[in-house]
Amino acid sequence: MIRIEDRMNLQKIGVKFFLEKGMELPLASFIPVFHRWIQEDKLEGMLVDVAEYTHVHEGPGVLLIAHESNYSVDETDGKRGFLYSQKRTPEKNGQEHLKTAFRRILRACALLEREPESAGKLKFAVNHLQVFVNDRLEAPHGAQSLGQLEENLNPFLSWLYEGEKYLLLHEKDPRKRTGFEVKFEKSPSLETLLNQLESN
Amino acid sequence: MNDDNPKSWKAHLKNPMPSDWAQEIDDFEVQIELNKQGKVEPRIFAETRLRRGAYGQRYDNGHRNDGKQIRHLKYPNDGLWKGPDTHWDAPGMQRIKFPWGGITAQQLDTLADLAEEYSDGIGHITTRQDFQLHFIHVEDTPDIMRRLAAVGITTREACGNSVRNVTACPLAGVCRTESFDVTPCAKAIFQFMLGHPDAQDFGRKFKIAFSGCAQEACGVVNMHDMGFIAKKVTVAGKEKRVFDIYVGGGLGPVPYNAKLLFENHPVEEMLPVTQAVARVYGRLGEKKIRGMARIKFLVAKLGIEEFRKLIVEERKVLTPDPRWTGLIEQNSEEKPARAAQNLKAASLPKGFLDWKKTNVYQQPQYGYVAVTVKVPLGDLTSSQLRALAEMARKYVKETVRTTVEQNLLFRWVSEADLPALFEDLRAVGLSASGANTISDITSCPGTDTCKLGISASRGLARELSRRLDETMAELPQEVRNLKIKVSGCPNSCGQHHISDLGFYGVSRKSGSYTVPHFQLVLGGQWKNNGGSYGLAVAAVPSKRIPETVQRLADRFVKERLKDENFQNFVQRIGKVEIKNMLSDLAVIPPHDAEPSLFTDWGDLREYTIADIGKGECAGEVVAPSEFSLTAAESKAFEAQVELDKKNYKAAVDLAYESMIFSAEGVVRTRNREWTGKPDATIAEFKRFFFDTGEFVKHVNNTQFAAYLFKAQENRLSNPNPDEAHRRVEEAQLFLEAVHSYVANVASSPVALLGK
Repeated sequence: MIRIEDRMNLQKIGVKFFLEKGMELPLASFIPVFHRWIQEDKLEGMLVDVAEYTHVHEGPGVLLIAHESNYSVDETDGKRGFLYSQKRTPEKNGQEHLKTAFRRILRACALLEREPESAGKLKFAVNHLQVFVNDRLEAPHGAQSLGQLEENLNPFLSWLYEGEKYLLLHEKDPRKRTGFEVKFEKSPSLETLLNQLESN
Repeated sequence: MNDDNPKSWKAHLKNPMPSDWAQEIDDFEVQIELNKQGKVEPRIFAETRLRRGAYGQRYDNGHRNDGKQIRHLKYPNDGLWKGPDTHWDAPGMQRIKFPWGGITAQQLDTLADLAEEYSDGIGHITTRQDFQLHFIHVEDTPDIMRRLAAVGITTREACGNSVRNVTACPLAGVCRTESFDVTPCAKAIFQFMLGHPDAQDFGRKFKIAFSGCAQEACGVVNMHDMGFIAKKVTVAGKEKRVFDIYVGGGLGPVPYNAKLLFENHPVEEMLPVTQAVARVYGRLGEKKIRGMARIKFLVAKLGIEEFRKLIVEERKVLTPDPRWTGLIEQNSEEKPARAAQNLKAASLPKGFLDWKKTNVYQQPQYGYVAVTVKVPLGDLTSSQLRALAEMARKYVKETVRTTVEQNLLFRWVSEADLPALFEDLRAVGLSASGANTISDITSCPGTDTCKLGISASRGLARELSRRLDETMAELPQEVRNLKIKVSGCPNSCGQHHISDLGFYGVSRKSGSYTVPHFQLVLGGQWKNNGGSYGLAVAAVPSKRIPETVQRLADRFVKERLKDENFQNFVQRIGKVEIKNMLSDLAVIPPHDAEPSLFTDWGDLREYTIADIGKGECAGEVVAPSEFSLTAAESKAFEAQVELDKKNYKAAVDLAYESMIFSAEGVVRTRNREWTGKPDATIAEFKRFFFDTGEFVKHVNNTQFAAYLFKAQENRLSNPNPDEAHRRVEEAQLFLEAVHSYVANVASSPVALLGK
């Protein structure tokens, strides 16, 4: 993997993959899945609890709370996806943070697609994602932060998506977190992305 | 710590906050560092962080039932504690005080940022006009506090043995029935008592509330440690603003009605009287037994006359303080953002009229209304918080308030702006009608995040709201107007005592399983500042509560007399009849016949653990202790019936009998054959279960056993209504504790009763 000098501390990075299929699945159907993941230690890190916000409009939906991060079937802005939000990790540099975050969320996406509650009914659009820095001190909204994030993100995305072309749409609302919506023209499969992350 | 780091919130926000607030937060950060180095006792650090609003949360002891087994949570800093048996790394809750519920647009924006960056993306409104953020790491709390302080919020004394958030009627200043606007007074008392030296040595928390009138509910003064009800009197031809001042009210496991301390007391005397009360409470209040340390116990012990005498004496020796009047005078009244204009009837949005009917309140000021934003379970996303901040700027400036019913109130809305505001709310999913109706349910966090939760109060509230919203159009008006409030345990954070239909979480054993239940509480009154408290009628499995509500509502509609309210209806048909009509719902079938009954709302984990023997055989075994508990239940209920009939002595005697059967239930877990006279049973209980710490270990509280010993010591030969009411409550609570104990000694994972 390419090593670049960090322009920004990406410890609190968020990555959300949007859905290609599965918007109609009831949010509550993810509750037993997350409980099962805790029982069976399905994910990296220390899983703590499940939090339900199915009653909230376009919110975090159902969360799997972990010590290092939160996973959620997130519906912010009316766009459902699977969000990984990193809270604290032992990684040393930004590229490692990105790699860890993408590996964890893509593993979780792959698992979710296979769960009995969602198998055949849910599919992630791995060519459509959102990346943001969940830290307004590190990344206050503005051109400088966006530039720094882009400099960190570009080499990583080119490496992970094997040079596929993509479009970065930056978050324009100054009250929201610094981040990009990323759209690839075409994309390797979820499994290929995971292989790339796990083999390097 | 980040003292020398220019890229830190500490450096970034140095100027926008008062220097003393900045210093306090810096000091707290030092305490965090010292605690990490092992230089502060966990017990001391716990009180330090609590006084800054940083609470523990469920599973912070490092154990969690995952539905199959009790799982040890391997927090990274194993062996580092932020309180006794509280892991350093465990998620916690940050409570954020909003005195009198007042919140600005800038503060809403800040809450949105904090919820996203440190919590789970949700800001939660509490039943005392606070906000809470959950799943917080303790090391993030100093920065959270700095960012709040920079927009004028302190979390100081949001928890701990201190003066908690000062609450007030959210309509204050725009209310049609108030005597005068209590906002400046609430603000003054908050400023005066925050960190006041006379309020630093309490045995327990101290809650203050203000209400603009006696007859409405909004301030719920009756359930507060200290409360002020505004009045106007004419003295020598001049109108004067005064307060009726109350003390010693409180919910908790055993609710107490507040007592009138001073009638028609001058507003200018509000602060010195509060100071005098704080000094007397600090000096004479219980310090050792936590369960008996609220001021309500002191007032009850001394009697209100003696307590009043002490306050009068204390007031005389106070050193005059210019802030007593200065603080009240400097707090001015708020102004609207936009000119008053009438609503234009043309082209109103769909759903607007229904919403207007339930969510809009006509202010006495011409052309203005107050709008209740119905917030499901008090939860707002960061996007919603930002949108509400924008709406506040656009329509009302800084006049938004939180309510004790976990909603938001926009005041001073020009009537002409209502359709636009409705549309803006709709865009973020907050235009639901039905504010202050049966579907607008109040709930504490319960088992979702609270360490003390027994049943899923939020899960139940969510389910009931959903069902009631679906059928709202068909519900008769008298049912729509009912109030439902839910607590996850007997501690009453959901204020179940003062609703038409109250519920609090309990558990029941069924063979080798434990089943989540809710106690149904009837007879409570919301009006008149929470004027009277309900009593438990029957424990019903959690999953059958919707059916319970349905039956009660149907019967109320069918048999209600003209203009009869629900409270009077319950009184008329009687609790025996109500218990009878729900008796089939209380029966627990074998596990395999209805497995969903053995899980709670929104939580698919088995309420019991997998290593308990499963199956019908175990389910059919009835331990001798269960016979005792059944008898105790029966006596407790009979006591309530006698209480309703105003046969206070009979009620007290039956409550005592119930306690004896409960104690017998405990004794029989050790000696299955035990039979004995009451005093012998109590002695046995004391010797083998209380003195050894065995009972306390499993119910996590000394208070419940103290009820039994108190009842034995003082049988109350001529009880007054309050004493009888309390004794019956105490019998019920002791019984719940025994249920909890029996469930726990059978290795069930059921949550423990509260501290």
